[in-house]
Amino acid sequence: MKKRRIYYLLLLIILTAFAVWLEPTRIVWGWLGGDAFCDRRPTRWWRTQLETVEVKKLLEHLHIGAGPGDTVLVERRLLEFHELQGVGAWFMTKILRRKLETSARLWGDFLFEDGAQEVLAALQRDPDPAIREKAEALDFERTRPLPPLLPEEEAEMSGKSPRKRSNPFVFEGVAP
Amino acid sequence: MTKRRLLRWSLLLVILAAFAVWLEPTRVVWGRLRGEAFYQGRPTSWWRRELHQPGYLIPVQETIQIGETPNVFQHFVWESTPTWFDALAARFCRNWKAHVRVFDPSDPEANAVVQELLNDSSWTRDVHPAIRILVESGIEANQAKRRRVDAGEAASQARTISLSHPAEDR
Repeated sequence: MKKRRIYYLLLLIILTAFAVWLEPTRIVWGWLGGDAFCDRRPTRWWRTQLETVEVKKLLEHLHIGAGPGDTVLVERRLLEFHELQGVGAWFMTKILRRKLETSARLWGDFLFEDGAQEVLAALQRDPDPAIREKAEALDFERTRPLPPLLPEEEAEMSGKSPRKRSNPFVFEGVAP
Repeated sequence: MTKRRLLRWSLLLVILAAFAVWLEPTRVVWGRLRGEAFYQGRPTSWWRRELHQPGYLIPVQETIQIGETPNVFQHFVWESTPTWFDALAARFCRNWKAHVRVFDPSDPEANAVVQELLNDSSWTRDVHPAIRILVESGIEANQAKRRRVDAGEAASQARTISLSHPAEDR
């Protein structure tokens, strides 16, 4: 009887460990590892989501004079957002029946959530240089200065708390 | 009789042609007739309407190394969302390339269109703030880059002068 109980206990532990290992949100892992959290997701989950971000680099010549050699080199970094591919996406859509968020929407909303700064700071210390670069580019967007208020917005905002930043990467369109 | 018929047919043709130009989705003929600026083969009036459509605002960070410090400038590029046809085609064809339209307000070729958009007071008043910021950010980034380059050049010239005439500095 006692032996059986030990067997069951062992099985339960193994199953729990397996569930934690497979857990797609990585919350338990993050909690165990002392990760920074943002929007109830740990740094390691956000790290996986960085797969959907691409930093495209281009070098361009900026003309500063009339002569053919009067140029300075400009390094252009474009942040491009893609949809999550592979097993993770398959698991989310087919098993959990979740609709995948557009990457641009996910990251645009993430930037101004509480804890984003800590998560990005942790990701900027990642051993993978590609992750560090993406995190750095996103952090730079987080600190992009707010555009000046329109006169009507100014009147609306007087006496109110600072305006909340909307998703800067998605434009929903307007009715014609 | 023949002359009258010819006149009638010509009139009908003119009306139909005018109607076709009015309805033309690309606004190219309309734009040419009105002398509008063009960007990527489309006139300002087409872009004015297009920029009301859903799209992604792709953040761009440009770095110029002037002297010791890198100078970073930011703006946005607008990219249209893929059409339903592109989304469907991408499901069946792995290498399908969606036909997205891109509007880069910092592109020198877009300057004339950007100026026409910003000079149109009804557009700047009614346009969604996100799109106004997109258009303005390109111009502001270009101006800031130019100012920074000019300032860097002036500083390097001043340094050259002071190095070549050390006695005068003292």
